[in-house]
Amino acid sequence: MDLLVVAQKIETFFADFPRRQYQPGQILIQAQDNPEYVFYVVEGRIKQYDISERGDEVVLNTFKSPAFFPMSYAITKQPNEYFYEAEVETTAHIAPPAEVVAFIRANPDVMYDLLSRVYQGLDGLLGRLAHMMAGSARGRVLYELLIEGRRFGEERGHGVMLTLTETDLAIHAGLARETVSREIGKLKAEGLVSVIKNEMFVNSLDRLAEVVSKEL
Amino acid sequence: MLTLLRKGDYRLIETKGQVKILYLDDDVYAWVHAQDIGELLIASHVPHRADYHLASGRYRLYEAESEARFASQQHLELLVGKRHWQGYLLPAGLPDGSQLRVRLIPTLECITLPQVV
Repeated sequence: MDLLVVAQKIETFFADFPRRQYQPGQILIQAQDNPEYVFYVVEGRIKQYDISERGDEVVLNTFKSPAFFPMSYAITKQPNEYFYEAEVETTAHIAPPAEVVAFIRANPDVMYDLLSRVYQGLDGLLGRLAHMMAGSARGRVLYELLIEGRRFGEERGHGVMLTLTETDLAIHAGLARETVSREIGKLKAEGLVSVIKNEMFVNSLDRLAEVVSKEL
Repeated sequence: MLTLLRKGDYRLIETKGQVKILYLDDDVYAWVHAQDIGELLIASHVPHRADYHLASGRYRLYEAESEARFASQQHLELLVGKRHWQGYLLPAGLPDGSQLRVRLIPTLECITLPQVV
């Protein structure tokens, strides 16, 4: 299966539907609302989150181009429990769920590609779950840095640059910001990361992955 | 269209003079009841000493526009208990340099944790 052909096929399908701009903070889907559309991200980033009983955001997933969501609702019609909010200026095509499902059913290569992405996501979730259940705060911070680095890191030399604050990392890892700050301080001392204003630089993802594997 | 404008921590205190003071992060507002008008938020730039604390927790400030279920204005929502948010409408937004006092209207509308029907 040629991934580029599949990506092109998906892009062509969504290009027939309206294109919308979303500003940072704009909510595309509200919690408890069943979405009217499937969103195909052309540019930008959308976060999917829940709000804990203490009022904290718990980020569960982040979508970037060329993701489309929420496929769980489109396929299973399970009621939506989460907020979907633009993290940065975002452009997306919006298509009716029924038409997206019909498109997927008619194109096995697209379905296979979607299934691959679901499994990749599931692997990430299982890893996160393992670290949450058995890992230390250090392990959780390291794991989130690794996921963010692999998904959103901008390559610079041997490392990757992340537009990420300690507060963002705390929300993703389900930890207090102060705890994350303390752990980042230790990682800086170990030469694993550097912090520059609202960005973090991971000096080597391979080295980070090696450290993460020893944390469980 | 719903947009999350701000989020953070709030504190509500009462001073010795029985004035309620609302802190949204570092922004300070006096919360007063004006006869025939209702609740008002007034920008404050002087330090206040708490006689006692009334509430504290997270807050979220939204802008609603052309949403069927929500009034088209700013909604300030304060966490007042476990998964319990109290909403307030801010027809003129929060006080700022151009408008030092604004109305604050309690509402049952809740964006953060909508009631499941």
